[in-house]
Amino acid sequence: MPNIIKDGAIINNNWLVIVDSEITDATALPAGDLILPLALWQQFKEQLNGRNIGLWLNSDEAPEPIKDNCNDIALIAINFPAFADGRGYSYANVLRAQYGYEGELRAIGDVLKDQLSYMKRVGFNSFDMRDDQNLEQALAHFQDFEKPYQGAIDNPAPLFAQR
Amino acid sequence: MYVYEPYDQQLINERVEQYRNQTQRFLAGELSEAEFLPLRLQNGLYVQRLAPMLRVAVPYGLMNSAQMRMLAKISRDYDKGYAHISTRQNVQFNWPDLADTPDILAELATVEMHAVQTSGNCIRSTTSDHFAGIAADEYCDPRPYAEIIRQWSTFHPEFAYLPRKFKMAVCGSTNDRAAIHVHDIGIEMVVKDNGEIGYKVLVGGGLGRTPVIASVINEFLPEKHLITYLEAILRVYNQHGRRDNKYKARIKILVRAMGVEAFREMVEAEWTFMKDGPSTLTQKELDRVKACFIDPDYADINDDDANLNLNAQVSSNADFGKWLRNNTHAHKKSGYKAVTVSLKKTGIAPGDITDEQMDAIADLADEYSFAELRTTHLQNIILGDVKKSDLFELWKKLDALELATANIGTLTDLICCPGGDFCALANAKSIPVAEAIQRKFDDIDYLHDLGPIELNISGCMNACGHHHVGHIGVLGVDKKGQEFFQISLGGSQDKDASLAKILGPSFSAEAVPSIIEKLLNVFIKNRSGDETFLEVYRRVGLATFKEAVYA
Repeated sequence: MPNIIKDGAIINNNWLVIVDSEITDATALPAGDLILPLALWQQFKEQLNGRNIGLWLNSDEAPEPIKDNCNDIALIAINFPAFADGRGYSYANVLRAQYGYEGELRAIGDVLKDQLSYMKRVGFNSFDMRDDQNLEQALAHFQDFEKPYQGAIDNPAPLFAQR
Repeated sequence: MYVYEPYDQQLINERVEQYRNQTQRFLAGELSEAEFLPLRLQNGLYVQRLAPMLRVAVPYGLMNSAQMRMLAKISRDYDKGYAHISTRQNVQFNWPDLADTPDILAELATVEMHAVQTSGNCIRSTTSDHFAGIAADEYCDPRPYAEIIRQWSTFHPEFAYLPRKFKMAVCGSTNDRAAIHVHDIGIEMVVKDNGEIGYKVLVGGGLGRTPVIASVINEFLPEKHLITYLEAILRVYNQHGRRDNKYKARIKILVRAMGVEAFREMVEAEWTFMKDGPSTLTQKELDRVKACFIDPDYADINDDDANLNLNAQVSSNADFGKWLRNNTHAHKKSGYKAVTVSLKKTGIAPGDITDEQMDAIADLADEYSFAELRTTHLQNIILGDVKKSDLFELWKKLDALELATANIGTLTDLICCPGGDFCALANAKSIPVAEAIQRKFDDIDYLHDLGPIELNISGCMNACGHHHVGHIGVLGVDKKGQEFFQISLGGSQDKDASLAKILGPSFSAEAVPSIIEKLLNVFIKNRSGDETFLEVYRRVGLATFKEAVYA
């Protein structure tokens, strides 16, 4: 699997995203660490107990259903079907700030260099970028702004409160 | 006005470098058209019919003379020697080269200017009353709050890819000159009897294809909660606003679909997670920003003496008198007036201004108005703090610059979008219609006798010319490839905001001035005393006007 960026470094990706939500039998799933669609995760989570299983939310799936147990999930991914669909930014904020999710939050899909600094600010810490993106070059884009005005997940204190 | 601290400057410099890198990658073919699109838009760059258009932010319409000179320089060095004041108080250049735009933004940054979020599906630059801080009817200066909103919304990481554009306006006076009822969020400053400051928050107003008057979502939001509450509204909108149809993607559609009560509940629920949290405004921050907007060093002037002197000048010069009557405005400080520099001379596209005029206005601001000036959403420029004793001299200088057309507040001080001459969206050429109207009604005394009339012209239903809220609105429509103009009556953007009603079938461009004349005749015939056009319309109704026009 192609590498990803996690916590500011390029690392091997161990997680396979399962796209097909029509799978009806948990035994049909491949071995290894899996990121399941929300519906499949809800369906199979008991059966797959003991395995490393994460889930992904599509841009029209708010994280509300995993509100109470999000910290039991090894990895949560949010899909960007198109980079300009900005719902995932608010889902990330809600997961971190309201539901207290502390695990790995991964951006998947149409994830491009120019959005990385904002994605990091709203709480994403890993990035499975679109295939054509150069990860080494992408690392330079996390720090476009050294001291932003407003508070966000990466630093809840707005600039005015830091002075 | 707000003066940058080192970190404000650093952010803007970082933005220029970010955009320079993006532009280079686009020109090298590394970024696709679609990927570059929102990046350039959020740096003010549109691609129009004939060339790119760069929209420079003038936050809440306030700038200093050095900034004005920089705009003049940019229009000379990178454009065709003129600029345009937009209906959102911004400044537009119609002919820059895309490859030059990083350099233009770098030059702007040297005078604390930028084009951040002047377009795109993000929080746009916030507008306010062009008489903020000087109006006689102001009870709370809205500028510090507009600046706080500017800082919070600038490069907000969560709200850069909203369903659609998002516009806010703030007003703190008895008359609303910021059109807060037709913004995505409108903020009316409130000062309680005990002096406590807060905000009445309106949501879901807007023009465009579906004009809506905003609903009140909060009658009194205490001062310190501004940012967290706005953030709650934006978070609800970002998650729930429609993304399947760009014509139904504004917050007004969401608020209408949910109902304002349900929307309010959702916002309040969201707000509980942030209320009193780290983004709550501190008194220190409020004081710091407010200190940027204290009064300039006004002279103590006896108003009676100043008025006597003015009256003498008027009696010896009737043209000065007309200008004084229409183009100057009451000021909170005795012995001072605010002056509107008219960009509505017949034959010039409304809101257009040359580089020489910009330089000259900057000099006049230095000489007469504490080196500050204001852009208005009515597409004029204001010198805010002019001594009454300087008015005669200032008038002569403005007149020599062709900036003293005495039509402010009258029919020919009309609002007009760039229209089909420039804009790729337009159905019709709005500027020639504006000019034809200005040519037909060129008698200043007649215009003055008609009283205040707001005539707003849009070249298409996207409504950049705000035709829905004009007392008289003119909208360009396309009928089988032909340009026609639909006329509507009775709009208002003041506190009694209302949307104009369509008069009837549309007219050819050539017919519009004579139709306006018929409407004015109905008004005059039905007018009693000093009634305004809008008052007469509201009293006699649309039918009376309709009969006269289509008879």
